[in-house]
Amino acid sequence: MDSGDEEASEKYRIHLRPATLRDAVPATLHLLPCEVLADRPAPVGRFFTPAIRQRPGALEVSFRGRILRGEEVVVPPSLAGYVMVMDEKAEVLAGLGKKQESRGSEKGDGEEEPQPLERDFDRFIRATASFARFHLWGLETVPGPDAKVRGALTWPSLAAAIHTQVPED
Amino acid sequence: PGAPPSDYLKDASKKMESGLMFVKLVNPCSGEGAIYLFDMCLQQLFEIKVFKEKHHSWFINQSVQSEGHLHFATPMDPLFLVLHYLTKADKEGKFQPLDQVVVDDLFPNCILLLKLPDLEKLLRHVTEEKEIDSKKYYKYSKEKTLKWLEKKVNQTMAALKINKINVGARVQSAAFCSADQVSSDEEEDYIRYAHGLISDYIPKELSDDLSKHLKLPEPP
Repeated sequence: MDSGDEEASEKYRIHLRPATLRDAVPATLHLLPCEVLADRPAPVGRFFTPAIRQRPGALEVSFRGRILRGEEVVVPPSLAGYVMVMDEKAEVLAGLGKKQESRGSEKGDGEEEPQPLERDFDRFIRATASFARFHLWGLETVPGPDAKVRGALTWPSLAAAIHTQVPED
Repeated sequence: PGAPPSDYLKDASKKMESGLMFVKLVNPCSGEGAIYLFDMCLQQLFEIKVFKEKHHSWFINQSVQSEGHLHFATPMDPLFLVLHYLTKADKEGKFQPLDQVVVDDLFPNCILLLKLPDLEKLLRHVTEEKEIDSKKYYKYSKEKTLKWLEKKVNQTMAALKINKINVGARVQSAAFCSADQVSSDEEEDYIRYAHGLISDYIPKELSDDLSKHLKLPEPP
């Protein structure tokens, strides 16, 4: 795992709208073993969800003609799952727009336009849904105990050990 | 989708209308930028890690998300970040007030670190300090830092054992060595693994010093 998300530049602060955490409604999530090259609405409830069958030892569904087997994974009890979406860049675009305009009209008068306030660069993110469990799918077989995502779910308990304060001598 | 600590964030959302924010700060190991979550109200720092694996996507309700990423927000010891600045400032070899140490043109949000409560208390683990006219001055101490890191390694080893993390770096064959041999090898694997985890938060040079301090054999 590596850190980060390339969205934030060094100066920006991305504020999380706290009320949205409180109001987030539980969502149904499926982690698929394939890449679907799209980010958009999809009729999951029409084609995928009704096709899920409970078989001995696993859930089963077919997607694009392949058999997927999976199971429900519960988010560790000390954590909560949130789906977050960045707000539109309205503030940022407004700031940049002004700057470019001023650049265009700069010719001749030599007057320096004031820099946009730093907070013009700040952005906002909000939780659109919450989750306490999700469906983990594998191609033909349920992802085993060594699956990377299962390892990732043990990370918070290791992180706690690394970052808890140690006693002084 | 991400999984920040649950009850904690819900409480935080009740107490205030703003104050949780993502900022880019230095990664104390690589020196590059990394995203952290700051809670300005409870004055706590969280590290953001992303689980990424090829060929994964999400269905979230009635939509598809092409990147099957899973973000984790976990509490971070701010001392690792402050240590990055202390070791840099140590090249000047003198006592300095903290606000002259934690300075960064690339990552100006580093000033948020200075607002963390109990930071002065934490600094005792890694610095010598002086007080002049009721102002505190600090100087990096390698000796103290190595002792502090050793405690971190021990604490992490305990968690690896509790969580039954497979730390085996080599295939062990009990048939060829005595029981004692097996267990001491295992112990070394745990130290090495814990040392590796801690090394993700400290500069390479310090990681090498820690390896010597822990008497870990040189890697082959």
